[in-house]
This record gives sequence, structure tokens and C-alpha cells, in this order.
Amino acid sequence: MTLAAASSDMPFVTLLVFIPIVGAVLIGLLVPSRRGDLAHVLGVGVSLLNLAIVIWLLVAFDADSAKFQFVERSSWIPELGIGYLMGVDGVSLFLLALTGFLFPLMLLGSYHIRRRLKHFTVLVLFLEGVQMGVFGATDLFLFFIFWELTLVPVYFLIGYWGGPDRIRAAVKFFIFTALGSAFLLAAIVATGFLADGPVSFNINEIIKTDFPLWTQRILFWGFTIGFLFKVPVVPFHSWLPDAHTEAPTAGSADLAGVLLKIGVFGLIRFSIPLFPRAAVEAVPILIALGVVGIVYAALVAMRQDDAKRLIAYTSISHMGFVVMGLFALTTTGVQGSIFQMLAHGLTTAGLFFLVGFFYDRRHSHEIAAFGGGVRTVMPVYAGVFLFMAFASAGLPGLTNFVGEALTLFGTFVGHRWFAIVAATGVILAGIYMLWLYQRLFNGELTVEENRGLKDLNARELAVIVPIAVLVLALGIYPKWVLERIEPSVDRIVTEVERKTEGTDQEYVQPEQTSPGGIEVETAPAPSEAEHDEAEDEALSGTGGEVSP
Amino acid sequence: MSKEAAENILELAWIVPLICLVSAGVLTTLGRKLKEPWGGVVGVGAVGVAFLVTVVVFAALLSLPADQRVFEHVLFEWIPAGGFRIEAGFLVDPLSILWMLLVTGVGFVIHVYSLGYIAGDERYTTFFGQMNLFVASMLILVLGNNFLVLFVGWELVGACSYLLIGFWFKKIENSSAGNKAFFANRVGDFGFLVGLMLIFATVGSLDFDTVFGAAYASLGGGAGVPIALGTATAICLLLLVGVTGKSAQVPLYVWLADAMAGPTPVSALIHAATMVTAGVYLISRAHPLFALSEVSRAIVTFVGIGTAFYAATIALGQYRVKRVLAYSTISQLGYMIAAVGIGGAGYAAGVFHVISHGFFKALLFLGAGSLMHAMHGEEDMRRLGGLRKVMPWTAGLFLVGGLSISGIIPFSGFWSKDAILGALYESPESWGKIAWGIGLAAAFLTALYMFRTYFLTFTGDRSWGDEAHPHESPWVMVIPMLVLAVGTTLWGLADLPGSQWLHGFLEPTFGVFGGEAERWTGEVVLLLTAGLLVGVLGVATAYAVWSRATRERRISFGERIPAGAGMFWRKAYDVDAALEYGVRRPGWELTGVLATVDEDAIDRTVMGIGGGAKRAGRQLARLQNGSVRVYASVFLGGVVLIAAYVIVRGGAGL
Amino acid sequence: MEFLQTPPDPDAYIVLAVFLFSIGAVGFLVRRNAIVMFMCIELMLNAVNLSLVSFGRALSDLSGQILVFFVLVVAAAEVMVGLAILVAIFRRRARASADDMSSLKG
Repeated sequence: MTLAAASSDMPFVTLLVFIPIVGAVLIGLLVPSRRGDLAHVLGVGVSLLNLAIVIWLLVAFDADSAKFQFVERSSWIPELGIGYLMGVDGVSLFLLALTGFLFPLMLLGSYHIRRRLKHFTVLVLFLEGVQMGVFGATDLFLFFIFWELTLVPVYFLIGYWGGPDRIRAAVKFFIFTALGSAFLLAAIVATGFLADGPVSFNINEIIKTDFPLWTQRILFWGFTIGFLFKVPVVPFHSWLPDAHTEAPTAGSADLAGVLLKIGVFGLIRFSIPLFPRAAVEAVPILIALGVVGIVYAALVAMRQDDAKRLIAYTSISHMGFVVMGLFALTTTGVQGSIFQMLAHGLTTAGLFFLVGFFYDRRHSHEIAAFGGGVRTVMPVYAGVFLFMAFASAGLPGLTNFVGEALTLFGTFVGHRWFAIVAATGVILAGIYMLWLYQRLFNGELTVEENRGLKDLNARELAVIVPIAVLVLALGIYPKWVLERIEPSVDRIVTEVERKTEGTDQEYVQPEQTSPGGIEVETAPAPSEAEHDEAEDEALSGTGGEVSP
Repeated sequence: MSKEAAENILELAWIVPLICLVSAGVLTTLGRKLKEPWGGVVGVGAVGVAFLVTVVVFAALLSLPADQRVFEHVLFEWIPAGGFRIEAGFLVDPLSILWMLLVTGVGFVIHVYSLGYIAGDERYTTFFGQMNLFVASMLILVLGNNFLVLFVGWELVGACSYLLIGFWFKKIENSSAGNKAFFANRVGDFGFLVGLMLIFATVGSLDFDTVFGAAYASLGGGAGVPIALGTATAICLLLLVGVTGKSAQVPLYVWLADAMAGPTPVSALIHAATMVTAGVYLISRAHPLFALSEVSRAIVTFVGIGTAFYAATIALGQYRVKRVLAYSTISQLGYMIAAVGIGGAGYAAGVFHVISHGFFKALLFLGAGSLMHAMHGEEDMRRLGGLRKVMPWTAGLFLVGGLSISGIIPFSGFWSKDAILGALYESPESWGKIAWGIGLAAAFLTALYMFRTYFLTFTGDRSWGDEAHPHESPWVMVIPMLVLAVGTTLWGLADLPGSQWLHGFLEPTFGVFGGEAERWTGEVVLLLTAGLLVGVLGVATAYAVWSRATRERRISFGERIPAGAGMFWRKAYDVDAALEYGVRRPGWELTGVLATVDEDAIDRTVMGIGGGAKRAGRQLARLQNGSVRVYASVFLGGVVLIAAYVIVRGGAGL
Repeated sequence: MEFLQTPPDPDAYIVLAVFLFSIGAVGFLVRRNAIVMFMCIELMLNAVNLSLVSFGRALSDLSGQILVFFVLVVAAAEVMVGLAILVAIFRRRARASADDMSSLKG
């Protein structure tokens, strides 16, 4: 009880954001560059401190509430209605937790880096901070700032510590995500100004606005395209395999574990609740994109010659399940979608770590560099790899199964054929994963250089075992997570249903009252024509406000 | 035992899989750190304890009155998400307890055998870990009280099967065989999963209680959401897809013969006695759903009986002992599937045969293993022969298994196979008699191929080279076989016509669907005689043809294989080639095309757009020539223009 | 002290400012020596300062004067940075013609 009392007004998100950032700054300023090892140890310490805060947050979180908890409000740029608004709900809770969990491991797994370890540590810590910010922000503008800030460290991580073709990959990554961001920024600004009442970027205010249908469509797609680049959904995915292949292990783990999630997070947090009617309209397109992604990426994965690239494609395939489940717009599907994000974050990051361990030994992640039979010299490594491969293939009892099953069952209710096609992904996942495993580990050892390889050391085990334990634990007892996600998801889904009730593709008058207890401030419903006029006025009016 | 005490015991049934799971975890984690005998001791001990606990649970269940022998208990809520709420619960009833006894009992015997068989292997401890994991998974499969938990076990046994087929991973063929098994199973699991989704979308739950309640409601009894006929048929057929994968039925049977690449105890336990019977369990469990759709039951029956016949013809053409046994397993599974497909008395008959088959097929496999152990892995009948003299125990016990599978009185195979044939014949369904005819023909083939194997292996001239020194296997391997032989001799008593203890025992599970118990009637006697005659005829034919095979004749078998049709038959109708050309290669081409598309089309398009922007930028960049004064002039010009604009507009409104 | 009470007519100051600005602008465009160009920029800035002061005085609004302080500070900073750059270039090139400094083109 005392803990709960002490926790109730803890500024959790601010702590989570600024502990690593301040840590990064201090390490950057105080530790001399040649003491990379010291910086690294301190970095691990800082990220572990953040993990402790995350655990505290998990304990303090009220599982029954659908509202934002640990809300922080400060005015920041009041003239533009931009505030420093932070909060945690069921949607973001476990994404924050995943971030907090993976970063210490990422740092721990990077001890062997020789080039500028201090700068590496600083960048990774900075990245942790801004990613926490992405998940914690409840102000659109603040969100966008954190969103953009994630680009910088990742760009450098890939571009400086990456593989041979790193520059191209880094630039490609930057351009793609920046292109998505352009759509996003335009949509964010327009949303802030078009929403009812004074200009505000507070999503809790904006959500009360019922935008006219065409406005919804434009804004929804502005947001959504921006996010789809990040997820990534086929056909916006081509930056990801390159980025993964070239990135250092920690970068790949972060890309798969956290960075891809901020796209989906944006969809859940902004695209769907703010523009429900446009979202409902877009459901078939987006589910189709998700399903195509599942099958397509799985098929392409089979043809890859590079283990990391293959896993990158499986990552796209798994994110297809996430998108599909999300746009099923059922509580089950959306919960599954969020759970699948966690599951994918753990297993794919785990696989990237594992491939990274091999890379540390042989400086290659080509399948040919394994050449089969590695199991004879590294049995423990092979065992853990198989465990993760099974998890990735959705074996029951491990965490991915729960996510995939929920997204499938949640989608099937409304969109049978899509779910059936998506379920073929289950077959394909088995094939590409086990075939990869065979090519890496089974058979006689053929590559002579592999003969003297050492099995995993204690430090590597310290990285991978926590992941494996979580993969197993969340597969057997996902309830602890699911019941915390449920209220928030339920609220989003019922709100969407309420707001789209009776809308059958065409615009009808918005409802006046809300059963959910949230006040809706719409003026007496104007006709469509009037609405458009009002929209024009709003545009010119806001234009006048900005220019002086 | 009081009712309360019995229920207290039943509540603890989850301990059985847990024991195996924990020991599996310990053994795989420790791996090589646990030295040779101890890994085996822990592994065998765990299954032994699991078996004892199962017996106690069985006793507790028996002590309850028959109508209370369905015990359900929820352990914890597993996946709660919106309308989709799944509990991790278990269900102990006559059906599941029989499978538990089979899995832990036969599992224990085979574990003991493995102590001898796998001795000296460098991954000794891991082997027992994986075997225990299998037993645990199988127990989860049969204990689950809803379809999703069943599916968990269903997938996990597939994974264990994969692990153990590829146990000797250094040979790439073994690994490929494991992959093949897993892929075929996954195709089946896909059907199963879609079936589950359809059930959930129709009924809104995956609990056996609710789903079967709905099925009863559709039949006109009890409350629940009725299921439309078309939906029920779709569900049943989708479940059947899963069954064909796991229980190796046409068309997904292709993996089972290759699965013999695994160590022989694995073949005995997983690919003969237990895992492959999961499909029979599923259909038995889901019998209320199948009761809704006659079409689906007809399809199940004919898939089963068709497989029984088809696989028997393949078995007749094989030369490797384990391959014969593999196709024989497929064939026998076909009988069971046909029995539970036709329903009625077939349910009990199918279950009867599952356990009967568990005994004799495990026995035959262990016999084959003992043979291979003695012959350093040689299992080609053309290079065996005359082994009865050097391995009397193995030969005798193998003979017992052979007699049982061939349906010779008094072994359990006789009673259980004839129970199935009887159920087919006496079924009210019009198509039952056709199935019975096919089944009878398959029974003849069964006796024929089994005794062909026996005679070529154990009698006649020796055809092995001088470098082989066959010897009888150690006692640790013979005694398990002996136990199984006793089992297969006595198990027939469990369901003799007239008494039919098993039929009665299963009544709480199958209820009205279980059909009437059989009585001694003229028809029954005739059917039994027909079954026996067919078996005897098969054995006699085999004796006439193969019992005195000389060395030369054996070797000439290899040369006498005719080209064309004969070759086609020997190669199991060349299904593998068809798969290669019909599925794998087109699939490979497809992925190739897509990978090219991904790299060339999508990536190039996207990068092309980027390149276009870059070129446009380069053109524009010419304006930036670096001369400060040009910049300043442009700047000034701009300022003048804007100022002019403002002045012309009158400066208002700014 | 009378002239302090009555706001003077700003016209004269404005005209002066315009002249100064024009001289600066033309000078900036026609001269090549970077140092002279700098002086021209200063001239323009001071022309603006002059107009700000005189408008402020004419409208009795102190903002004009305050703004001038900002401009002065910024100008000073700018000159400092600019001269430093010039010195650096001078060391390498021994000339200060702006036309030579075109290596930063796109």
C-alpha cells in the first residue's frame, strides 16, 4: 500500500526518458574517450537503473484502469497548444517495459565493440531515452519530436558501427523514415489546428473532435502512411532488410525489438482513435496489406542467403500479423496485436543477438559462413537458437503463439478469408525457420574455420537467457500482460464502435452524447456543406494566427 | 475410496505432465554435464513415476460411479483477451485416462529399452530430455479441456518428433526427414487451426463443454448455439486435415516413412504407439461435432480405410524392416481413423485398437531396433535372414507382434481389428459394408507383408556378410519387449465380445454416440471367422513364398525388380518425386521470383524514386554556384519584389 | 532640452538611413574584397538601426531602441565569427576576394 501511495504521483515517464538521456550526457562529458570500457559499464548501469524504474512502473500500474496513469502535464509552448504531456496506459505500458528490458541487454551484448565504445554507449542511451518518450508522449507534437529524434542515433549506429555496406543502408533507412515523417508532420499540424476549440496537440482534447469524413480520410492516411513506413508494411519495407543486415547487433535488436513498434504504436494511439470513421473504412485495405506482408515476406525470406537478412524478412512477416490483428478492430485482435509486438520484440531481438554472437566470432552472418554442423562445436548456442527459432515459428507454449493466435482469432470473426490466408504464415514460418536451422547447424561441419569455435560465454548467456526465460514465461502465463492491456484496448475499440455506429461508408451526423462518460463538444450537427465551409474558415483562420 | 478422496486425487492429474516437463527441462539444461547412467535414470525414473501416478489417478477414476467419471478442473486462466478467453484446464475421463496410461506405460517400457539402445551416445542425456518432453507434450494433448490446450500438445508433439527424428543431426538426411515431418504436420496444423477459428467464430468458445453443448443443441438436445450443417461439415473436414497430418493419413502421410531416420525407440514411441494416434484421439474427442455431419463421417471413414489399404500395398514392396513397419503403422492408423469415423461401436473399437496397436507395434519396432542393434544398423531384408538362431528372444517376440498385427487369435490384434471390421459391417450407414470389404482386403495384405518381413529376416539362409556378428540384445532391451508381448497377448481380454469392458468403460465419454455393446451372435461369429481366415491366409501365403528364401534368391530380389510399374510400386508410388516436382520445385521457383521482385522491382522502384529526386536536386544545385555576390543579388531582388508586392497591395492586411 | 520633449520629424533620419542602406547594398554587390563587403553589411545594419531609433522616437515607443541593442549585439557577434573565418581563409589563400570563395557550392 505504501508503495502504491508513493508511486501514484511518480513522474515515471519523465524518469524513464531522462535517466538515460542525462546518463548519456554525463558519460559523454565526463568519461574520456579512451575509457570506452568505463563508459560501457556506466551505460549498462544507467540502463539497469531504468529497468528498475520500469519494473516499479509495472508493479505500480493499476491493471483495471483504462485511463492514462502517471499523467504529467506541463505547459511548453502554450501559444501553439503544445504541452509536455506524458502518461502510461495499457497500450504503452509493455512497450515501455520492452524498451527498458532490451536496452541493458543490447549494451551488455556490445562489450566487444572496439571502435569508440564510449560514443556507442552514449548513442544507445540517448536512443533509449527518446524511445521511452515516443511511447510516453500524449501530445502529438511531443510525440513527433521524440519520433524524429530516434532517427539520429539509429542513423549513426548503422552508419558508423555497421557492416561493409553501412552507409547506403543508413541513408536508405533515414530517407525512408524521414519520408514517412513528412506525411506524419503535415498530418499532425493539420490535426492540431483543425480540431475543435483552441489549437491543441493534446490527444485527450483532439479525440473529442468528430472530424468531417473527408478531413478524417486525409488526416488518417497522412498519419497512417507515416506509420506504415516504420512498421514496415509491404511495399514500404525495402529499407528494413538493408538496415538490419548492416546494423551492428545492438542496432538490429533495437530495430526489431523497439523501433518497428513505434509505427504500430502510432496507429493504435493516433490513427485509429482520432479518425475512427476513416479507420473503419480503411480496414479492408490495411488488413489486406498485413496479410500480403505475412505471406510475401515469408516467401521472400526463404530465398535469403544471409541469416540476418532472412530474419529481417521474418520480422516483416510477423509485423504483418500485428497490423492485421490491429485492424480487425476487435478487442481480441488488438490485444493480440500488442502482445504480438512484445513477442516479436523478444524473439526477433533474441535471434539477432544470436546471429550477432556468431558474427563476433566469424565476422560474417552469411548462411554459407555457418555452412552446417555448427551444432557439433557450439551445442549450447545451437540449443538456444533452436528455442528461439521455434518461438519465432509460433510454437505453442512460447510467446509468439499467443500473439499469433489472438490476432488470427480476432481477425477471423470479421474477416474470414484474410485470417485463413494469414494462417498459411504458420506453415511458412515453420518451413523457413527450420530450414534455416538445418543450413546453419545440422549435418557435418564443413567450414574449417568453424572447427575451433567456442560455445557461448557467460556474458552472452547473460544476454540471451533473460530473453529466453521471458519468451517461455509469457507463453505460459500471458494473462498478467493481457489483463493489463485489456481495459485500454477495450476502451479504444468501444469508442471506435460508438463513433462509427450507423455510419455505412457515408457520412452521417455525429452523435451528441457519449455513453462512455467523455464529453463531446460538438456543436449542433451541421450539414455536410456547412461542415466544409467551417473547415475552410478554420484553415484560413489558423493561417492568420501562425504568420505574424 | 471415498468420492472426495478420489476427486482430490483427480485434481492432481496435472502433476503427471509436470513431472515429465520438469525432468525434460532439467535434462536438456544440464545436457552433457549429467553423465551417462544418471541422465537415463532421471529420464526413465520420471516417466516411471508419471506412470505410477497415472495408475493412481486411474484407480481414483474407477472408484467413482460410472456417470461421474468425467472430471474437469481449471488450473488458471491462460489467454484472456476480449471475447477470447482460454483456460488452462484439464479433463480426466475414460478416454483421456486410457491415453495417459498408454503414453506413460508404453512410454516407460520404451524408455527402459532406450537405456540399452542409446547407451554410449554422446547426446545420451539430451535424448532422454527430449523423450520426456515428448511424453509431457502428449499428456498435455490428451488432458486439455479445450481445443486450444489440445492444440498446444498437438504442436509440441510435432516439435518433439522433429527433434528426435533429427537426433543424429550429423547426417543431413536425418535432419531433412525431421523437417519433412514438421512441414507436413504444419500443413495439417494449418487446417486444424482454421477449424478452431471456425469453431470459435461459430460457438464463441473453444471449451469442449461449450462446443459439444452446441453440438448437442443442434442435434435437438440441451441448450447452446446450434451449429449449421454446412459449418459442422466444414469444421469436421478442417479437423480431418489436422488428423491426416498428425496421424499420417492420405494425403499427408508422406512424412512418416522418412521419420524412421530417428533412433528406433523414437519410432516405436512417437511414430507408432502414441503421437500418431493423436488424430484418433481428436476425432473421438470431437465426436459430437462429427455426429452432426454424415458427409464428413463418410469422408473420414474412407480416408481411413483407403489409407489402410493403400499403405498396406506399399508395405508389401519395401525391403527395409523399419519402412515396412512405418507403412504398416500408416495402414493400422487408417483402421482406427475409419473406426472413429463411422462412429457408433466404432469409437470404442478405434480406442481398443489404438492401445492394442500401441502394444504390438511398439513391440515390433523394438524388435527391429534390437535387430539393428545386433547388425550395426543393417535393416535391409535382402541382407538379413536366418537370424532366429542367433537372436531367439528377439525372433520369438517379433513373431508374437507379427501374429498380433496379422489378426491371429488369441492376440489382441485379432480382437481389436475385428472389432473395427465388425463396427464397419454392422454400422447403420449404408457405406459401412464397402469400407468393411476394403478393410478385409487390407487385413489380408497386413498378414502378408508382416510375415514376409518375418520370414525374410528371421528364417531361411543367412545373407549377411562375415563382418557382421549378430548377437542377442542385452536384457535391458529384451525385458521391455517381453512386457509388451505380454501386453499384446492379454489386452484382447479388455473388450471381448459379450463382456466388452472397454466399451462400457468409455460410455461416460461417448454416451449415446457409443453404440450398443456387442453380443455373441451368429453374425459376430461369422465376422470373426472371416477376419481370422483372412489373416491365416495371409500368413500361409507368406510362408509358402518367403519362408525358405536362399541367399541367392534374396539378392536376386534386388535385380528382379522390374522397371516401370514394379519400380513405381517399390518406390511407394513415387510420391516423393511427385512432391518434388509438384510442390517443392514450383514453390522454390515462386520464392525465387518473389525474391527477385523484391530486390529488383520494389527496391529499385523505391530507390529509383530516390534517384530521381537526387538528379533533380543536382540540376537545382547548379544555382548554388558558391558566389556570394550572386546570392546577395538574388536575395536583394527577392526583398525588392516582396516589398513591391506589399506596397502595391497597399500594405493593408499584413 | 526642448528637442527631447517634442518628437522631431523623422523624415530626415529616414532619408539618411535609406542612403546608408543603399550605399551598403550596392557596395556589397560590387566590391570583391571580403573585408569591404563586411563593412557594407555593417553599414546596412546601422542604417536599419538608425531607422529603428528614429521611428521609436517618433512613435514614443521604446521597442525600437531596445531592438537596436539586439541588433548591435548580433552584429558584433557576427563580425567576430565572420572575421575569424576571413582570417582563416586569408591564411590559406593570402587573398580576400569573395569571388574566390566558391568551394561550398552544391
